[in-house]
Amino acid sequence: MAVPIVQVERLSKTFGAGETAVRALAEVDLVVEAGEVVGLKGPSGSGKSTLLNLIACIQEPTGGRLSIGGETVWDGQWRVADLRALRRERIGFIFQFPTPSTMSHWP
Amino acid sequence: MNLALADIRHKLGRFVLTCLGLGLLMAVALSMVGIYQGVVSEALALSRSLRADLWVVESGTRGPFAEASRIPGDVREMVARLPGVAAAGAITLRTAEAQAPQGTIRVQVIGYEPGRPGGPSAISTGRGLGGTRFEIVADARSGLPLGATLLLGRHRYQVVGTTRGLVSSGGDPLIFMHLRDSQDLQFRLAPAAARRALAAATGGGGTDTVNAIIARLHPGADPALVAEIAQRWKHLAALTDRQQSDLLTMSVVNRARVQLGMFTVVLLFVSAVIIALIIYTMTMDKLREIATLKLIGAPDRTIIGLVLQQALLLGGMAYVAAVAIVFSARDVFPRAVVLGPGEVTAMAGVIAVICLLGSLVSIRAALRIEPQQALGG
Repeated sequence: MAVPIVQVERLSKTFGAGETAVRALAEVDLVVEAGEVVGLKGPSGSGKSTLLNLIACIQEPTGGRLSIGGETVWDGQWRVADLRALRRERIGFIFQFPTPSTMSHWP
Repeated sequence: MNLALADIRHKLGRFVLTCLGLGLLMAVALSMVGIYQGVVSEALALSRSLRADLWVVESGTRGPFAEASRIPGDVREMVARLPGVAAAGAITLRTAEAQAPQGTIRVQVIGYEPGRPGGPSAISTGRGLGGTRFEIVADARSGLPLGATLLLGRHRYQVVGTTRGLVSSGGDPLIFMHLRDSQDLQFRLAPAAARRALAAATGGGGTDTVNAIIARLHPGADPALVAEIAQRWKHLAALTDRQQSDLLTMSVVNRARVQLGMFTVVLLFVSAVIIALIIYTMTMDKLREIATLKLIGAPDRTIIGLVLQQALLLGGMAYVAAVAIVFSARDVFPRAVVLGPGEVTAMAGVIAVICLLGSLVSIRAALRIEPQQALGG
């Protein structure tokens, strides 16, 4: 069986702490196989962007496990020393709102 | 591709205008350096032109530039006979306001004896003074053309020659005339005052007074030794040319020199702060772009290179603009703006250092930008 491109197990993300804590993701599971196209949909504030930020290693999860290409990236702590190199070499981004600041003059 | 160039191309007009503005600021700083050098150069212009090895002046004074000095005209003969002296000439110096065709001008009048030391070292146009009185050689800075007449005191003088770059330590153009003419101008009393002086038996008729005797020495003669011999006459003091030059730069124009120097330093500090702010603003304008770079995994050196290259390009373009502005406008300045390769190169180094230091805050800020800022909005 092929190794999933993205594997998310019981992934959680909580912003803040104590009484003001906001739980944006609660134990999410997701598997994306190679060649598979997956869409995320949900109401505003349901955690779509947060999940993508976690998968892209832009934000640090607070629980669960994240693997990219079969390699564990986070399981309570970061397992990759250089996250920017990981993003550069293994993750591609297509922006939702391609503005001049992000796209046009840096082809 | 080069990100710095791509970003500049994206906002080319704004970048060019910023460079021009910064270029004007740099031009002011560069011209201050040139004016500073010009003050020193102008102060030494006359003493260099006279090519004197020794200045003999009134005892107890450090004349004729730093202090007033009056000695009898016949001292020239005495100095000319000192061992080691090849030639000696008497000179007078006086600042005067004269009526020129273009209006009242301020000049420094040098009186000397043609054929003896004291005259201009080079004539730019026309000829030097001959045997005829009421002729003058004027520096081009006076605006007097050949053949023009100048009303000085009670007489009119005709310009027979011009020089270039000969001004006093105060920046006034030099006018050379016969010693006898300058003595009459400087020392002859008005008729009424002369009559009173004669009645009081205090003289009043004699004008054979000069401000200094300059001497050129034989090759190998020691100026300090000849100065020591001259000072044995109790009514005389003597300075070597080196002492006179030091006096001019360290005493006569010292305040102006220090003032200009301090102003230049303040101006460079202001420029440094403005450059740092411009670079910081340019960097903050690219907050989203830098965040995007981090998001897609660009290493820190790419971001540092982007800020640094833009800062150096900005400084380089501003420097080129400044040099072009100063060199095309320096003849318009009322005082000399002296800029040699040393000053121009040093300014390039100073601007490069300012740009590098000014980038540090921006680089620190750029490295603290979070990649998720690229996704906001």
